[in-house]
Amino acid sequence: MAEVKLLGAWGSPFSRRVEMALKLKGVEYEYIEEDLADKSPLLLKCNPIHKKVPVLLHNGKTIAESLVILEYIDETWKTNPIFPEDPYDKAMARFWAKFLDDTCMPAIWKIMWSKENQREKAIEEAIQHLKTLENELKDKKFFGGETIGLVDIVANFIGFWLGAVQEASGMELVNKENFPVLCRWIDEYVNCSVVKQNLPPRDELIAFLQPRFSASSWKY
Amino acid sequence: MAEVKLLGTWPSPFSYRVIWALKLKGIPYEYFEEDLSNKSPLLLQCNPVHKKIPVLIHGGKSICESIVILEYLEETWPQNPLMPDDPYERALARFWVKFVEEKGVAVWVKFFSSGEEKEKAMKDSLEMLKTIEEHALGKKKFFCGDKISLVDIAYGWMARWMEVIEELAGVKLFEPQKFPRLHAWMKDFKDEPMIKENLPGHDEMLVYFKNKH
Repeated sequence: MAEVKLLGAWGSPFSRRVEMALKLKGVEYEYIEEDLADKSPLLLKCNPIHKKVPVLLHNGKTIAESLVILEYIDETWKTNPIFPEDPYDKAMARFWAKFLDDTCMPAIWKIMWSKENQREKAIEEAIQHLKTLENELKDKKFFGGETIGLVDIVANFIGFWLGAVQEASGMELVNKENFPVLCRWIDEYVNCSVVKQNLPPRDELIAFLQPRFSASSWKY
Repeated sequence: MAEVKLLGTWPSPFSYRVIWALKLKGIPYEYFEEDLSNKSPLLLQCNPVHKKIPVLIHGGKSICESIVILEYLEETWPQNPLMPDDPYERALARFWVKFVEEKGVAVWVKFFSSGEEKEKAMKDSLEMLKTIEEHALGKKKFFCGDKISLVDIAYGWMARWMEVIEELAGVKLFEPQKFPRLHAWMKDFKDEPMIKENLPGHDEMLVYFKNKH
């Protein structure tokens, strides 16, 4: 029986983050695909509070919330650290991870769910946040420096899912003209081996997202 | 010149989180009260992304976001630890911190709204209280054991801010008999010397929030 199990969903960036971290550290694990429309008794038992994926099971203990899991993984398996060692650099990594999850991502989703007359404002807001992110990247290869780190892992939504969302919705938020640095990072990122192995098939993801945008309220 | 500076505001529970951690660890610091209607150049320089308090400045470097600051303090000054040693216990602590970040103050201030938004906020808050009561506290005095931890600090807003908001919004969600564990925790938290000496006054808070809303 595997010591480490991961309950995840193929299309979830949160789930894939954890897989990336485990693979980066060479941790063997058993992956269990959850059907989020029909949650398993195991998921409901292991994450009774949020009933969401990802959930990590290690030696019978369960850990939920992707950022919490990433911290746990880094503290438990020391190979290929994800977090910087210096407390200040670590604080910066945590700050940007929080920025991605609490500010950037919600702003992007807000565009998708906003009414037509509010959409332009929502787009402006999202672009502002993406510019802030791009500014942080500057001339670094990755957010983590020469190799991917916590922020790159957490930014998988920007690195891959955003492209799929853009194609599924017909809306282009990020392109080489308006975000040259971010697009350069995206190219490096998706070609990075540990990332490449932990992405859902693009066509399937687009096919999954498309029905959400063909609802009558979305016109772009 | 003090090595550690804190930019904060007196009515902010987020500001107090950092004060509590600094006091509990015995870290000397210089406090700067910010006027959020007229933000200082220092604040804008140190937190250009969010332009919010609290901001910790240590050795010239600035750290923003209260929980990020708390983790930084914990790692830089290991005395009087605020986090457990064991990685799993730490994961649990971080899980509960994240829970209150999502479901806490941000929801409670919606009590100042009306109609559907207020109704939803009240429903969400009640659920949040039940979850903490049933799952988070257990039989321990504090969230992680016998001593105050980062988790208690993150929930510290409940020790003063929750009652003020409820009073002003005319809402009574937190009833001691319905939430005995939480009630006991609130009392124990407020009784801790470093916390007791560092809480904003109830009446001043009422005046402040009344004027704001």
